[in-house]
Amino acid sequence: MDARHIHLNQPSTVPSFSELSRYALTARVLRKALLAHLDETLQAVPYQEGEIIMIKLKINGQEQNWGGDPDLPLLWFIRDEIGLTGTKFGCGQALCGSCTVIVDKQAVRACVTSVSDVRDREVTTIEGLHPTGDHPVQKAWRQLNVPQCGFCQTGQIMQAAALLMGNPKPSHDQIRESLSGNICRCGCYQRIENAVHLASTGV
Amino acid sequence: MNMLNHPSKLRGFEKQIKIENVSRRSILKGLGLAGGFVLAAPIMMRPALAYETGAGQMPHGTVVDPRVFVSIASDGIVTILAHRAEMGTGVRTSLPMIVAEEMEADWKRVRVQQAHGDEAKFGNQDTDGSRSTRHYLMPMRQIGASARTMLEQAAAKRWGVPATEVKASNHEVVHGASGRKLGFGELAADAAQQSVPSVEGLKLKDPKDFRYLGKGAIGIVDLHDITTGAARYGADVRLPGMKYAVIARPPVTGGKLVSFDGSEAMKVSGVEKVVEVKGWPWPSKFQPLGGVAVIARNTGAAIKGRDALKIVWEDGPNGKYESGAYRKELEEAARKPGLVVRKEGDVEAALKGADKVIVGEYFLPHLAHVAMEPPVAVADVKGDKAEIWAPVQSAGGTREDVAKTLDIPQENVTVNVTLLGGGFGRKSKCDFALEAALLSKELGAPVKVQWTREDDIHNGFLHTVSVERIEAGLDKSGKVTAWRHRSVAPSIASTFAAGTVHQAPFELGMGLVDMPFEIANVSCENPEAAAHTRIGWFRSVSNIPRAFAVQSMVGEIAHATGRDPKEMLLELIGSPRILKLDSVKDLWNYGEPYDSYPIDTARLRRVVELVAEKGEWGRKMPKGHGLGIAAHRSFVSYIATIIEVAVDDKGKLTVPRVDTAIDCGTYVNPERIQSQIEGAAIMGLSLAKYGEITFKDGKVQQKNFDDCPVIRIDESPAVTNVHIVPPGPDTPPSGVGEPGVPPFAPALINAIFAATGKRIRALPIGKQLET
Repeated sequence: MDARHIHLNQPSTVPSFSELSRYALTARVLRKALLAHLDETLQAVPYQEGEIIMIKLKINGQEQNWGGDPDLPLLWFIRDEIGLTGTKFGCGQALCGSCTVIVDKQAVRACVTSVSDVRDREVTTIEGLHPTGDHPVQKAWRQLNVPQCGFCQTGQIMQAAALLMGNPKPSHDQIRESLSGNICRCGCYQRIENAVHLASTGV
Repeated sequence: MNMLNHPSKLRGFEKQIKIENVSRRSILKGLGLAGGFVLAAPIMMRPALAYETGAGQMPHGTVVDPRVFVSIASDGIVTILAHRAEMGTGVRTSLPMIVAEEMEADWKRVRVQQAHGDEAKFGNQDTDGSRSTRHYLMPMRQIGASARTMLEQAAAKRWGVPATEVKASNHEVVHGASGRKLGFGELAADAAQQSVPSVEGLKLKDPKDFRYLGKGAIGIVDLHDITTGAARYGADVRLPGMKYAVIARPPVTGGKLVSFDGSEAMKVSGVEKVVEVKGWPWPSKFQPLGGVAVIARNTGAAIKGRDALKIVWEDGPNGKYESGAYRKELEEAARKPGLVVRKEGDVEAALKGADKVIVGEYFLPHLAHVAMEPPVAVADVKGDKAEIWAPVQSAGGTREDVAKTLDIPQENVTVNVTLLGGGFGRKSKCDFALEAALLSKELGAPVKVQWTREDDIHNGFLHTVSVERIEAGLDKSGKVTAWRHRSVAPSIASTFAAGTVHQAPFELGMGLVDMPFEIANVSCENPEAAAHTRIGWFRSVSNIPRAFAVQSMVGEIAHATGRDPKEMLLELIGSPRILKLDSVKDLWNYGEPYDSYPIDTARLRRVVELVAEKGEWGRKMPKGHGLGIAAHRSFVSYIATIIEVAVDDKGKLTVPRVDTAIDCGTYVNPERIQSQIEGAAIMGLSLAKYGEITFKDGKVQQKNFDDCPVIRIDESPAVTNVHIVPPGPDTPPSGVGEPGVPPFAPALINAIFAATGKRIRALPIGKQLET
């Protein structure tokens, strides 16, 4: 499949976000794809160019407000303005998955999603995945000693958690496909794959 | 100044620096150990080791002193300092675990605290060269044993019994005869009053009593934090009033700022200021390149502001650097004689008299580290004092460089080392911390400098680019009688000194002059190559192109003579022996004394034989599949790898299986050895398949992970098996972090040849297999 030929305005043909990340699309195209996906799940609130109003959204169940640049990437709102630093910056172009958060059960790259894109929506970051850090994916990660440097791991975990929400028993091929948008430069892939499998079969 | 003659300019290759006498007060001051008190005793420098390592040759050597590294709180919690940087190798767990083992501490009651940069206090902190375990296994054991002895003495005194009657065991000291017990916490105050035993008299634990060392049963100390997002990396540091900065830097190495217009940037919401950043001329070691910084209330605004800058640069002498033309230059140089750096017999005559000469010319381009965490640092400079938070591999070196850059005393600089989101050699250069320090001083506020991925790729310290040309002369029987290897590549030393055209001894020693084959006539040569960009250390450094060339050539000779590649490799390695490299001036043995770490072909043979057995060399392959093998000694460890590849009709490459055998001597944490080798396979596959940074008009042409791809999970090897050679009783520890990388590419290339008959001599593979 050549992602460049996907009709992004047809929600039924919108591929998964991680799938799109594989094709090195521009941030703009990816953002458009995200919005198309969100249109599928919720009616997106149209945002007018130049509009400066207070944007409300929920992060890990807490209401947040943003009155600055509505185009500010969600990543920097989460990290610099809210101070939740578990979501990482790795590329800024939705190419590496380090900034993965969950919006409406979908794994989303926070670096190409603007704050206004998630107006009135629920965003879950790694800090909100489980109150004590014991989500099955987190437990499986620890059981298999997955991380090396650990930097990309929160993004990997969020992607895996989103995968299991939609597909509780993914095959190894499905795990590899779903996590192919998340880069680990240390090369923990063998353990990541096994940990997602372990999480899906009971930790 | 030529670096060959002045290796002392290279940190880590300096002659030993004499430590000034450090007063008791200054040692205790600023220890920063959490809670409890510190064991007090006179400081000892570099005691006799059971085997000699190069640790004492590193700047500031080693410090073996329990009171520097260990504190015990009255509740029994033992805090052990980690003085090396954690970038994914597990060192922040492994070194404290060694101390805990020897002092009989219960790991559950041990806390690890990161030491700040202070080499007079902690000893050398350069976390590179795969040497943490090999330099610190014995010092850490001695520190733990000292602490244990002091606890035992305190208990014996309390009970009025001879110290020989008591024994520390699992966080308490027991008097066997009476059954009395005292916890470490109860003994801590008294233990601090005991004198530190002399290292010579220390009784180390019998390895058969080890509970942690060599077992691999303990997870890394940051495991929970990493999985919950609580782990703190460089970018995660937040200070009150902190400003966020990104910097536009000269796109060409050696270029500089002519003028800029920040008016549009200032209109971006959230942008507060646009300022010039001081730059240093190239080459200037790790000093900042200079440029224009945009200061904002968050990183996103700073990036958007930077996009709106209008800047005029002057490109300087490297403005014409072009990768294709430079490759031709290197190839031409490799076809002519160069500086001879190893010579045995008469290679010219032997090649002339050979029945057959096989020539291989191998090319490896520049590589970028692209650690997942781009460079980032926070600085807070107030008057003549500076505090830094940064993911740096060299805490001590960073402290020195910040002090020099700000022209303040080193004692006024505190370097806090965060976790590193990958290092791979990039973060042994502290330029990003220096930028943060300069900006914080200018703005009078704490500043975070964040590099984007594009900055990381455009303004890094790249792996060199090299042509390796090997000519092998064979006699009628197919025996190799002549070996001429010319290695042409710009040196890392060029980042320190202008005019450098030869590689430094530490680069020549990585797979060129230490070539282990039993061949009568050998010539290793290093023709000249000038650098046009900043060259730096990249995980396993010059071993990558050298192992690629040498081990590919083994495959080529095997094919030309119709022999099994593994048998060919063993034949070339030859008899089990210790290499004598008398013709090599300044032989660099990874900084280690040759007596402790000789080049031992018996160990190289052994990893080849082990991987052949475990990796089922010779097993029947389906159509389109092939097996390849390669072996290489680096960082004084021995590694052999077998890779199975599959290449389909369209040339799509997959890797169904990897087997690697490693002999790294005595080891601490086999579970982390396994993870390092698994990771090395991914990094090896990345560089072989995709690794390439190219230049046009002096500028790097790649930008991000789209045009500078690395291996993703869906193309990673289906399985990587790691086979660790059990150490002999007296085998000193050797490197683990880097040695897994070099043999990967040649094993892969040899496997592709076995599968397809196609011999790839230039990396990356790219589209070369496509049909």
